[in-house]
Amino acid sequence: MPDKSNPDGERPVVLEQLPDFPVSSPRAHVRIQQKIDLILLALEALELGGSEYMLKTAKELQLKNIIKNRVILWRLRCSNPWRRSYTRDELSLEQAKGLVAIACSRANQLKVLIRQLLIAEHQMKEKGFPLESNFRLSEYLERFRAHFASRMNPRRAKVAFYLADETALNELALSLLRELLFCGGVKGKERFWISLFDGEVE
Amino acid sequence: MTIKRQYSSPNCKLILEGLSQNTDSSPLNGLPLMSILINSECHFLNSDKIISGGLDFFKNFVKAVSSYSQEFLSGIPHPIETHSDTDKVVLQKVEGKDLHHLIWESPDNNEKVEMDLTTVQLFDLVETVDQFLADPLTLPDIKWNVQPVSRRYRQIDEPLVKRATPVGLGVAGLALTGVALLFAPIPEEMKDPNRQPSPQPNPSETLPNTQAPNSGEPTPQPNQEK
Repeated sequence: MPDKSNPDGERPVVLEQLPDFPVSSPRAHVRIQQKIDLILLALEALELGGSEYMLKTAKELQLKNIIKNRVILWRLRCSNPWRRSYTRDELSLEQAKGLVAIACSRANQLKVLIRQLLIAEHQMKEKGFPLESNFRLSEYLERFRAHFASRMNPRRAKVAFYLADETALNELALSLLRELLFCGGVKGKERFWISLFDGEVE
Repeated sequence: MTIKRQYSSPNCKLILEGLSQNTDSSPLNGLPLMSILINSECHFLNSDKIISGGLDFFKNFVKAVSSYSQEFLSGIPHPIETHSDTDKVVLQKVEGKDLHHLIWESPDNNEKVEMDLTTVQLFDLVETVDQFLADPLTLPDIKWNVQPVSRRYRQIDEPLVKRATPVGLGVAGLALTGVALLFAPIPEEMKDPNRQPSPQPNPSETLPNTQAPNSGEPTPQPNQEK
């Protein structure tokens, strides 16, 4: 993840808040890119028109130089190797930070909904009810599964595994939802960003 | 004058009581800087359980909560260096459940608190700690110090048993073959019927003629044809 400084002007404050770490291997880049895209996918499953909100948030966070439009956002997200349209591009440090800042800002906006869904999940599991009994939770899981199936490459072994096992895919959606809760916290952005480099630095 | 600071979230409340070394007010907003901690308490609102202690407890508490939240996000264990052996706070994942087990044992009166937190309750606990860490006017010596763990803490994606199976099968197969060969009879030496006995060497024939040949032929002389 080379750091391409912004030649057009000052760096957005939100990028200054996230520290730089040296990444140990190309595989680490791939894992980080994959995680960022999946977190954004979970956000899209939470709210209709999620990508529009992401672009709006990019503008609010003064990240327009990094994420200029919908096509750029889509191309950056296609750095996830699980994608059907995997571009093999490597995200720059600023692009990765920009996407994390957007995800955490959206997670903060949706904090109440995320809490409600996780509380509902806990209650359903405690009572032994299927998760689909809760309408909002069912809606989130259904949307996540649909987004995952339409965008991820079924020829990838892990994707094929998730597509064949609905329970495993639901668990992936829930684990991303739990992470989104932490992303929306007071220091959520910093915590999530640092967690991406866990086990990846020398 | 005692200073009291409170950080709260829907499920958790953190109360710090302390003193200021400097009587001057902070120029930022008139609030004094709390630099000495007298007591800290963490209340869990869904239960009547309270964990509390002095500076050692609080440092361990902040470190444990902060490290565990990183562990929760990445799935990679974080080593915790505690500031003292007493007043330790431990957070562990409850296997197979979406629960987190919190343990605290007080050193003086043998009070022990154990409770399971849901992910939302854990998040609220982390929120109160992060509110404190983001506050520059309270115990600035206890700073935000979160770093990613190095590669050696990364668990291998495939379990060791699964990775070791092919190697184990290979070694076991080789060992079994070796044992089986021990019981196999040693083959006797077979004589080749086509093989002829090697002729005995005759010294008179084989000894090289050590004498210089004296055939009577003249030795060519240089410049003979001149």
